Amino acid sequence: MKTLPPPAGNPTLTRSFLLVLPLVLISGVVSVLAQSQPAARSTASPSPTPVEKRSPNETPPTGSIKGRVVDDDGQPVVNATLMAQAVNGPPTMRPGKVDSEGNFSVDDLPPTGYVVFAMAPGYIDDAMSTGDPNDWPRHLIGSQLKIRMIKGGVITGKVTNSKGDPIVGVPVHAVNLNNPSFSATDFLGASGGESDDRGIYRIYGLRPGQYVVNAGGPGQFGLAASNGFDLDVPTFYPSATRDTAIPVMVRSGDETTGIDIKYSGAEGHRISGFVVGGINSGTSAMNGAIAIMLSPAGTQSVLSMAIASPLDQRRAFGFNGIGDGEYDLSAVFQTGQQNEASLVATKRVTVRGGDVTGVELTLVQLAAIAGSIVLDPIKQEDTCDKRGAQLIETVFAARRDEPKKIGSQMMTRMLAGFGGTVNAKGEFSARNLDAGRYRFEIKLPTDAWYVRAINLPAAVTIPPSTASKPNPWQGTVTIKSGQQVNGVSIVVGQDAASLRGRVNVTPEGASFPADLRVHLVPADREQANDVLRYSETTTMSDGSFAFSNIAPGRYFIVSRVEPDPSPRSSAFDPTARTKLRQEAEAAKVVIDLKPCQRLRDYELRIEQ
Amino acid sequence: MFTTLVPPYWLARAKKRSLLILCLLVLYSFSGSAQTPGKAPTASISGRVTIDGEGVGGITVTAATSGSPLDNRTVAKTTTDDDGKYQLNGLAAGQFTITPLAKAFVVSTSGAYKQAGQSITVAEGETITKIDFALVRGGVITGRITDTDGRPVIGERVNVVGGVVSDSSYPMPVFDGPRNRTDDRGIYRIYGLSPGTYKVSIGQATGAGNVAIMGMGGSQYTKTFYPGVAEEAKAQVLEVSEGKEISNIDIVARKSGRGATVFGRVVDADSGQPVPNVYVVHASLSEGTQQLGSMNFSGSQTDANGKFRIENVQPGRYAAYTLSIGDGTNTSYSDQTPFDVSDGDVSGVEIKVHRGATISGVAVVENNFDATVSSLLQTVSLIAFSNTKGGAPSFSRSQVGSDGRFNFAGLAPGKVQINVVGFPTPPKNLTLVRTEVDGIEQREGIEVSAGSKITGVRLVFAYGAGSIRGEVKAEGGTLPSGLNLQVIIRSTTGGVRPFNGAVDARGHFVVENVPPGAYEMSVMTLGPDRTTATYEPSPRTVNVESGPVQVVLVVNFAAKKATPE
Repeated sequence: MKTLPPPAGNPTLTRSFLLVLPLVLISGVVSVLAQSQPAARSTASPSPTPVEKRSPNETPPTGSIKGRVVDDDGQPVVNATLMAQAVNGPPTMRPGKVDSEGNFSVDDLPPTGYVVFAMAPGYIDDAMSTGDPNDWPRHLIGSQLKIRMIKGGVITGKVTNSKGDPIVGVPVHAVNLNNPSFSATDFLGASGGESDDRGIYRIYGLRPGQYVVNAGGPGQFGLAASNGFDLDVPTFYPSATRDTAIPVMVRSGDETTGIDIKYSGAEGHRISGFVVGGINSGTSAMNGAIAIMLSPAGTQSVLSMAIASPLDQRRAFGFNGIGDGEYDLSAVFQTGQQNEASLVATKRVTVRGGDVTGVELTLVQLAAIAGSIVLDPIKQEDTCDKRGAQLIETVFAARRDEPKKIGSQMMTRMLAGFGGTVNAKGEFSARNLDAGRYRFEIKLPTDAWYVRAINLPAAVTIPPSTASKPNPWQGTVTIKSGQQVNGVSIVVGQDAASLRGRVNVTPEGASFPADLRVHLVPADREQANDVLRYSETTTMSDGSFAFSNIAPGRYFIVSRVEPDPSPRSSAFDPTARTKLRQEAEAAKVVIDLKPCQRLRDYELRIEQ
Repeated sequence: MFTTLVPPYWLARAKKRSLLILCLLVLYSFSGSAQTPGKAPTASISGRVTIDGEGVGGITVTAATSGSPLDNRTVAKTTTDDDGKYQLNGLAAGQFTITPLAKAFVVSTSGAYKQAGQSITVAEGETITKIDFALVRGGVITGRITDTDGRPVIGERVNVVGGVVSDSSYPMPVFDGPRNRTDDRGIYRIYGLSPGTYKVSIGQATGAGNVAIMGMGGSQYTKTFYPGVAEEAKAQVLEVSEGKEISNIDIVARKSGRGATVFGRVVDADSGQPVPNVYVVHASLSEGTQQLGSMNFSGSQTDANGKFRIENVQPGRYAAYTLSIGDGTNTSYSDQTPFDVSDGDVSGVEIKVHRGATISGVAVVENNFDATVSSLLQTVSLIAFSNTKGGAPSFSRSQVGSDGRFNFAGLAPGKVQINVVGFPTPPKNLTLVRTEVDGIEQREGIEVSAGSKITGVRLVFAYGAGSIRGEVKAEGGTLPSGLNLQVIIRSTTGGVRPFNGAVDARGHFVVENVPPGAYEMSVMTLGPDRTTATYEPSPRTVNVESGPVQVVLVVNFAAKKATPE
């Protein structure tokens, strides 16, 4: 007896449910989207009212993002479709129109940052080369883009049994070793294929890189339809386990042939267990689902996934077709509601010649950081922003400021989405964070703005201050497991200066040093420990450099050769900062930047 | 039909797994069976796999659960010996599909062909023999799809439908999966076809149940049948025989036009105020029946002024409506606003949003007052849905609280059905048997008028661990072939929704989790053309207590019951 479909003899019931089913499905998609978006009902603490440039009733003007989608040869990509997804604000995703020349336009977009995706079967969007949404480029309305799509590579071969007979209809997967978390799923189906009646498979649309190729096994979803091969241990090319698989190289647009797999068909083991803890019995929590994922230990590649319901008292899960080896199990619970933190659990298990049962995964809450971006009050005539930038155009992300660790990293990276969001009031949040040290990445929508101060609530740990006054922002914040940091305030000044110039080497004709970086160091001793007053930039091959979003004031300007600069600013580290400051004081080149000043053609001389 | 519900991969990039979780959550809502813990299962199924009467060795045979259309996990597998014999051991009681893993082959039964795989109802400890499979190599249709410039069309779905199926029903493609998608060279190869006649086509489909999400699941090409014709009547019928390969079935794909942009607005029907930040979907609308066909979710969303735009809409008749999340916080439903696209952009499509009806009440277990049994209700997930001509389909979800109460909101007027969702797996032995309003059973659903607030609804569950296991036999002959048989069991005291059990090829069936009581049995046949007929078996009635009951039902298939219910 099944709950659904309903009893025979009442076909109308079945039919009307089928009509509703797509809606239920899509609403699921929408609630996922909503979840990745910021706070309509934000938990941010009360903060000074942001300065309104417009009357509150006036709708900000919408705009377009335009551009062209081309392949390696500059030819328009036939069949490309395009989508712009807002990083901030209410969930917004807009399809673009692509004409036969590859020109596209996404119109009527509210002002904010967008990630623009191009998709075409068999092709991959070059800009999305990493699986980390944090790294994907953001574009403001009015942008003109050129999206380059590269022809994906192909892996093809034949799957046979030990006697050489074809194995028909077996799923074959290619896992990218360079970037396994997103493997090759640029185009749905691209990461996998299926052998045909001759045993031949062909996987296309693959990002260049190294792959391991396997046939059979549990497949991506432990609970999905059986294909007859799902109890088997996957066989890796050429006839191996994952540990002894021979990697396959894929080059853009090339075909790698002869990747023939001798299928073993040996039955795998089972990993099973329960998810415990963490979920409150609120209605919204009960609407959610727990996903349990299985990955080879230390990788971000998902072998298989199962789901459990929080309503299910046992919350049991299980995976079949598992070979000997070490695996990471991770569970994640999402309520499907905006602003509700997700819960995660991870555990490493070892399979050696038998089933692993009774694995317990204990859910813990993830941490979050939230607060407000506040514009420094300024007289209307003093602003140097003529366009009227909106707070919602600011891109905010909290990024892990230490070497990546395994564990819940895979899931938190996925859950954190774009790394943070900002709404129209300037309230920002970054959710689903692991414990650890984070730095903030703040991209301001106008040259007129600069980050003047970042104030943390008293409860948050920052390095102890020697003075009685609160320690200024030191570039990072360390959060504990599950900590909910609210009330961070980011104060933005509205009279920023900018500076463009060029490094001139003396004597004339001396070779220009490679890896040269230019630093701005606050000249005022009182600001010596204010990391926000420090800026650095690279130089172009002709020695030119540019700074923008700079607080007005007096700075030392100094250049240094830094062959392997850290991704974080030198100012973040007290020792490096002191050293930099000593060099800057010694060089004694001072520059005074006035509010809203646009200094051009500045010349910085260095002796070689 | 469900395989067309592909998750949009652009979204998948950002929120890949969580999205899939939700898709699967919905799909999985069909699964109902749960494993019974206890002693190791001992049932077995054996048989022989042959080609041209000769046993074939080395063929894998699997048993997959088949209790529900979407819960078919492989639970056992074995390999045929040199004589083609196999035996699957250690099976629990339940329904299984037994499949020889030979996907290039089909099964031949006295001249009729079908995909290999047979549903078998297994009783505890039962030894089932002679589940044999006579295989014949299926046919192959292969070809290449190119665009008008000769470039390969990549990742396009190629539909193969039976050549004799008329276009009045929704022809289901023979396969849907990797094997009917073109590769990066535009080549497709559809194998394992039963001998018969076929038509091959590509391009947009408009039938109900198709969903295009952000263009995925749809097609950018116009519907074209081999050898390059738009009308199905002019399509060439391909004759596929055993093991025959028909190649060069090439089609030139013509791209659909750029399509129109549709502009509109969503307003609140009561206040006239714009409704911001809601999603707008559109579905093809059948001229005659006014039924919704394939649905498109393009991500279109209203702005602060309630305005929306939908891009790339192909010529045709459509209805636009808003999308609800159905999570209980939503309190409204939308009109279904028709519009026509011919050759230009369309503006002024206004969608009115109405405050929906609410339904609240209590869920009770009528035949068991044990506290642990009634607390099981809190693990039940409920869905209410209404679908009315001229109104967008609407639904609402609810749980049962610790006080037994549930609440639905935002429902469109019409007949509202309340059902149990299969995720999480509903508690075994607990069955929703009736929906009552003020003590009156609502068999056809609860009649809901616009914006009404219906209280005092009782969802009556019955607790029962009884089961009816049995066999259907034809009076003086064999069971009718080519028909699906169901045994339907109705409470003779009334008030309990009918239970049904599928009858396997051997005539076996099982109906589980039946509350104690007296039941009347009937046997229903379902033909390939969806016609049904109901028969009265002998015996007609059975009494269920808390354990299994065995029955043998003898049916005279010559005597059809005149009025099926």
